[in-house]
Amino acid sequence: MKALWAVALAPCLVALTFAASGVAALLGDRPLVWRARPVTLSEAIANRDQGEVVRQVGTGVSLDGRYDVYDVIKRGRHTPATPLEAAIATREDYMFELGLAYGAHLGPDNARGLFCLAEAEKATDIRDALREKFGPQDCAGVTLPW
Amino acid sequence: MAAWALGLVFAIGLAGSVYRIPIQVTDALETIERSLTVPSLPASFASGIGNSASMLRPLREVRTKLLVEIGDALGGRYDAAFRGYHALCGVVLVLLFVGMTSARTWTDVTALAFALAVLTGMHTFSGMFREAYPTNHFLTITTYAMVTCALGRSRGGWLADVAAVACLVVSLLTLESGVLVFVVAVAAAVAGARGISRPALGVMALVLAGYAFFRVGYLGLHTAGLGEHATGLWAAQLSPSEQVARFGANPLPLYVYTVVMSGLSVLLSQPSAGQWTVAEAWQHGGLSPVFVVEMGSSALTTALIAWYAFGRDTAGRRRWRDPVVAVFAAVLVTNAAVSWAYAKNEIIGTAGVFYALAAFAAARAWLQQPTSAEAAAGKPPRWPAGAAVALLALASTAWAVRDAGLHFKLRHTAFVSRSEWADVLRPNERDRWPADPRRLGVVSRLKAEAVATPVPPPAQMPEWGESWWGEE
Repeated sequence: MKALWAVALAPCLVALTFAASGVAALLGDRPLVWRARPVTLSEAIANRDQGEVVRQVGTGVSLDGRYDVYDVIKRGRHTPATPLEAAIATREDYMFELGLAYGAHLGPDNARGLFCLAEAEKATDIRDALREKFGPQDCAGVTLPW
Repeated sequence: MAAWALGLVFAIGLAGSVYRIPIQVTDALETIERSLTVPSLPASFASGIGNSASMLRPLREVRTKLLVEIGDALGGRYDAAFRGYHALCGVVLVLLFVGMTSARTWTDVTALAFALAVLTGMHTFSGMFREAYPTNHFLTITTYAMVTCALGRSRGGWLADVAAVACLVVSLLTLESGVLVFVVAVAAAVAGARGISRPALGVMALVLAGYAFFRVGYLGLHTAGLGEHATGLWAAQLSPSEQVARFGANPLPLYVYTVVMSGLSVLLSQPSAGQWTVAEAWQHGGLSPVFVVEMGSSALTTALIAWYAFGRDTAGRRRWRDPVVAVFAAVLVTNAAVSWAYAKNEIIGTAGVFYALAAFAAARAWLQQPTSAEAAAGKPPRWPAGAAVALLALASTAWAVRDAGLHFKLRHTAFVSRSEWADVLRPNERDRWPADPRRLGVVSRLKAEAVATPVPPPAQMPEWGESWWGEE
């Protein structure tokens, strides 16, 4: 009889853990296991978290602000960035497009800085798209955000 | 009582993770939008008969329409309607599974804990919960197949007969794999389960024949064929165009491969959707723990089922005639056969559930067998030797790891499903938004609900998760 627990232990432990987590998720909208941690808009972009970007923009967070990004762009470091700069850090064109689609400002005033950041981060698709829209940019004397 | 409590614990965990997956856009939003254009449930049924050249799934349309109406009744909470339904289906399936084991003693409950881990840890099981179109019809078929098996093993009666026929009708009108319900009924009867009477089996055969005539002879629908979906071949995955290029002249070898590998995947957890991903990982020097855990647990459990099936019961009969084993074998073969055109883990999901049921019967027998010393002394069955229990405990622990992986994968699915909504109703593409106010209102609401659900991105999940549970 004593040996039964050895067979049932692991399945029961896993099931109980996720049942407790499931109850917390169903009743309090907060699962105990693998819950989403709060992030800034730029962190959401850096994490390629499109749904979170849309949610935050929907609540009124500006796509043109500068927000802290922790442990994504630079491991273990705080790196303030605008959402478009964070998108460049991902090197993913679709994240840059997402920012623009939901209202991020892109004009002659910030195109040069973004172009030079894309050049430095080797985000070639984004760099090429910026060059196509605003022409070649001179990066001499441009201060990069990180 | 302990068995039901255990089942409830598994079911609640599953429901909690499934409910938090937002409604997906791919293969679901279009169906939901279509349901808005039909005025009633009967009209949905009718539209489902003529809206495809290869599929006859009118009850999918009806279910979608019904859930949209429930969402309306809940004040526009479509997420609660669709995701609540999916989670509820999961609870029903798990509790149905518990009911079919008839676990009463502590030995039974121990075997049930093992079997529930097998059920929820199977790679084919996750497919039934990771996708919804907007409901998962593979899950529906599996549930009705389980109900039919339970009816077959019941004491029978006219109510059981009517229910069995109804299960078949509903299944066939939901998905082509509904034929599995008939296979279950016949296999159970052949194995000696008499819950469904012979006349009822005859009616079920007539229903199936009528369905085949209506589908092929009247509607002229064709079935899925070569190059309609990607599928695996040895260590590679073939795109539709590659399939046509390589097998266009004679697709039979690919079909045979897909059928055999679909069946094998239930027994060994490889190949995955026809592709031997373990070989690919080996070639690239990245054999991560997931392969050891998945293939090891499956090999042990398949060996346990084989030991049980080829052993003899107390009356001296071969146990492969046990209805649980016979039904599993029949479902495995048929389920693999209906996967001929392309391999996909969720298609073979029904066989995966019956595999877990067979694993329960085998584990129970394994725990009940006497030690060699007891057998020699002619003592009644008590407890197996420590090594035998240790072996089952090892398999059980591996399956528990896989069960945790189910929740890991469901979180990833939630992230993907939520992300998909970013492409819907983009502010810079207002010219592409639906013109119809009702449609726009529902889609807007669906999007708002989907993005409102907090979901951890992969960056917030444990880095070792993919090594132990796979990429998807």
